[in-house]
Amino acid sequence: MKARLAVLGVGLAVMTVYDFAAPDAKSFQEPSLARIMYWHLPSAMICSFFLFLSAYLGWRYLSKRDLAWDARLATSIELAALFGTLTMVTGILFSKVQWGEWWQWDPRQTSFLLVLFLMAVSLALRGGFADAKKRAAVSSAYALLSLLPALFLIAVFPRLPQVKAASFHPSDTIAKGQLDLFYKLGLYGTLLFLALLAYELYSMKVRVSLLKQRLDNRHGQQHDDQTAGSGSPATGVVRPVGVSEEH
Amino acid sequence: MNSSWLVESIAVFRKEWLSEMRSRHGLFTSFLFSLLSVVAMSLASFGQKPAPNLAAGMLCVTLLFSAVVSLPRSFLVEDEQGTFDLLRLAAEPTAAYAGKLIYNVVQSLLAVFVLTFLFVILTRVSVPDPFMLTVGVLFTAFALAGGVSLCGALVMGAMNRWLLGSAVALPVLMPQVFLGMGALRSALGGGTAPEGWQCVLGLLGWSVTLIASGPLLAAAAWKTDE
Repeated sequence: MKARLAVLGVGLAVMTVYDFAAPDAKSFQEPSLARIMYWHLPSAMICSFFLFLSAYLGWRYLSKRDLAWDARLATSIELAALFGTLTMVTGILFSKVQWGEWWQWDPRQTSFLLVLFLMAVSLALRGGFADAKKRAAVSSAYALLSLLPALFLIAVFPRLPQVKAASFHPSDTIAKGQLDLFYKLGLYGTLLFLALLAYELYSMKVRVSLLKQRLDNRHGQQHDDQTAGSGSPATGVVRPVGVSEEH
Repeated sequence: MNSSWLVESIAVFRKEWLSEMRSRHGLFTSFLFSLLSVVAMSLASFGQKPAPNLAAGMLCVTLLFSAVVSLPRSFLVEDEQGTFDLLRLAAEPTAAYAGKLIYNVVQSLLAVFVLTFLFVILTRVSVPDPFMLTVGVLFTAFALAGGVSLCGALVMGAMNRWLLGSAVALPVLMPQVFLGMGALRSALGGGTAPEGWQCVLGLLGWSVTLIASGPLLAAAAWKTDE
């Protein structure tokens, strides 16, 4: 575990140094600051992955009704929100540096903001229920419901001709092979180590959640045993009581 | 789908309709809110005829807020009165949802057509393609009813459920609003006919998906007793 984290830390440090050392990108307003893309694009990819994973985990919970799947679902939504926020922050910086405005209602910026809202609402919805099973069921159904809007906002909307025409945001840069070797190495290397970091965070958080569930179950069981032992009217044996005939 | 499921769904719809007609208070408040939002939009464009793009956006936002405020009511009132468990004893969860969905579709259709008519009259926008406007508004009503009903069903039993219902529905409905705007923009003369019909097809697909998956998702979310 410690060795894995050490390798991960070294890898991310190496990629950070590489990202600074790589030559500037051409055809940008501020070529040296286009390096934000090394972190922006991988964050967006990881965020989208966790968003779609949430839908799968939601489906698994609804078919199995095992709270372990809910622990995975909650972690997946939280990580999607974390990497979505990173994407948004780096995107806003990129916008200011390259386009001169922090926020300019670019269709791509706005559609990603809506994706972030989907995640924020998922978290708000989870907070609305005290009962774990009800929370898990509703959260799973919402994760499945969000799949369609998320697919539309991430994959369809940015590729509509009218949106492409109106947006400053570069699209199809990778598909058209417009990245040079230095950028490809930086981008894929950062993606690899960020993905590994995301996996480590995911597995750690899931383990903690499962342990917490186990502890909660044990406490619940102990509480039940104690109330049963104390002869509480709710759980103890009910015996017939003699009623006096006196009036 | 068997006949008893259909009978149960229609019975739930009938129950919704009769209980709404008995007091008419909720229906009246919903329509009042929708009417006020159209008047507010018209007031904002006072003295000017809004451009097709702006008019399509204004109309879609009005329809969205009207749906988000009024449609989850059928689920949330049931939850607040504590009668939902009783309803589930009488009907399958999917049938209970379907009955309420039919009621919401009817209410949404009525609201959407009345609001669109009033919006066109009050803002004096020209409608070069009334057929596309009608079809676009029709499928927008279906998509809004499908999305808001499902969100209303999901927030039953939650804390702050009225507020949460609207917050949950808004991001889910954004793609429908975008497609609705595309269709209405073309109908009002701000876009080409093929673009408009593409958006109408998108709305149709969206409506079918939401209406078909709604009963299953709602029933899965309500089932917690295993």
